[in-house]
Amino acid sequence: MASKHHYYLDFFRLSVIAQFSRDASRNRLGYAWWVLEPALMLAVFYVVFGLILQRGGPGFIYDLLVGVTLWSWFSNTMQKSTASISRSAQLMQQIYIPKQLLPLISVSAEALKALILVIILLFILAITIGPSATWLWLPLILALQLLFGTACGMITAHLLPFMNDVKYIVTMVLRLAMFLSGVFYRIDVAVPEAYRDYLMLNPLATLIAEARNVLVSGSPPQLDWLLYVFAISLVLLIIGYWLIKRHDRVYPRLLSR
Amino acid sequence: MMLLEAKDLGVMYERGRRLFRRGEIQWVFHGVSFELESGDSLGVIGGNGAGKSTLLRVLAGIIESDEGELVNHGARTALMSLAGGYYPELSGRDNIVLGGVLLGFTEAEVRGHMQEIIDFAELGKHIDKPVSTYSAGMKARLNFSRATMLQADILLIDEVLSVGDRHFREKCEALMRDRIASDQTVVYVSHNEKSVAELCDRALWIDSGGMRALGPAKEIVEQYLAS
Repeated sequence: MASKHHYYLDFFRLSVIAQFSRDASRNRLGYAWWVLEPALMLAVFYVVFGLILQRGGPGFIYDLLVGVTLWSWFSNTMQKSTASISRSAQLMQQIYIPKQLLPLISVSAEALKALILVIILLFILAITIGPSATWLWLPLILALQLLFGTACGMITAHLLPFMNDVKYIVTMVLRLAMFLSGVFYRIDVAVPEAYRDYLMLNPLATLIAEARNVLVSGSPPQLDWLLYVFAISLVLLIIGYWLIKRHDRVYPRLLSR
Repeated sequence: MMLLEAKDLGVMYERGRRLFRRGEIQWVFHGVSFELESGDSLGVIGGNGAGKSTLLRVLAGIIESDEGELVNHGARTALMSLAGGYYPELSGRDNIVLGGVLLGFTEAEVRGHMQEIIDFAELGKHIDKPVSTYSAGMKARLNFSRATMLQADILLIDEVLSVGDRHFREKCEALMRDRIASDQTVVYVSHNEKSVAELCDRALWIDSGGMRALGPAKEIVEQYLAS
C-alpha cells in the first residue's frame, strides 16, 4: 500500500529528529558532546603517541584528525544501531512496525552527527594544509562507510534480542577494531609489509587509509580496495536486511519475556 | 463491512529449547475463529494465562500466529494496553506523535488533535516530560487518550479500564459506551466479566485448550461464570 510507505517515512523522519534532540537534552553540555567526545579522544592519542612515546612524526596530527573522525562515526553507529531493535521493545509490543526501520533510524541520526564532524574536519584541514582536488573523492569514501556501518549495525541489531551477550561482544570487538584499523597510525608506514594486506582486509582500515590518501596526502584512492569494501558491505547488508525481515514478527515475542 | 477474519488461529511457545533440540510445545491458545464486522463489539474472556492479550497482539499484527490465518481487510487497528508509552526516554508529546503516525495519521493530523489528547488524559504540563517519569496511571491515561482521540478502525482494548483513579475510570467507561454505541469496532479483553456483558454484543471465551464458546455476550458470560 502506497499510503503505508508514506507514514513509515514520516515515522522515520520524526524518529531521527527525536533521537537527535534526545541525545542532546540528556546531558548538561548537550550538543557540545558530539564534538567534545572525538576532540578528547584526539587529545588522548596525541598526548600518548605524539608527545610521550614520540611516535608521531610530521603530519601526525592530520592523520589523527581523519582517523578519529571516521572511527568515532563508526563506533557510535555500531553502539546505537546494535541497541535499536531491543530498545524499541515497548513500541513493538503495542504497534506493528517494520523492524528494518529501527537500525536505519539510528544509523541516520549518527550519520547526521558525523556530517557535522566531517565539516569541522574539512574546515581545519582547509586552513592548515589547504584543500586539494583529491578531496572530491571524499563523498565516495563516506558513502562506503555509511553502507558498511549500516550493514554491520543491522546484523548486530538482529542478534541482540536473541542474546544479550552481544552487547559485550560488540564493545570488545570495537575496542579491538580501534587498534587494528589504524586510527592513530598509518598501516602502510607503521606495519611490517608482510602484514599490511591482512590488516587492510578490515574495511574500516581501508576506509581510514583512503580518507588519509585523499585528504592529507593529496593522492587518489586505490579503487580496487574501495571496490572490495563495497562488495563486502553489500553482502553483509543483504544478509542483515534478510535476517531482520525474516524475524519481523519474532522480535516482539523474544523481547516480551 | 467485514474488517477482520480469524481462521483457526493458534499461538504456541516452546519451552526449554536448546540449540539443536526442540523444546516442549505449549499452546497459548489454538483453533480460534471468528469474524469481525464494522461496528461489532466483541468481548474476550477467559482465565489467567488463557492467551487473551496474546490474541490481541495477533489481531494487531504485532506477532504472527503459529497456526491458522488472520485476514485483515485494510482496517487500521490500535492496541491499548497497560504498557503505555513507546519510548520511555521521550516526552509524552513525542510519544503521541510517533504512535499516531504509525497508526496511519499524518503529523499535522496528530498535532491537530494534540490539545484534545492532553486535555482528556489530564496530563497538563507533564506532557513535555519523559514518559519514564510518569506514574502507571498517567501512562494508562496517555495511552487511552491517544488511542481514542485518534480514531482507528478497530480498537483493541486490553484491561485498560482497571487502572487509573475512579474519576478517570468512569470517564473512560462513559467514552467507551459512547463509542460502542456510535459504531466503533471494538475487541475488549477483561477480567471483569460483568463489564463485558454490559458493553459488548458478542463474547468469545478462550482457554489454553482452545475456543470454548462464541456467541451473544450475556449468554457466554453466564456460561463462563457458571463453569
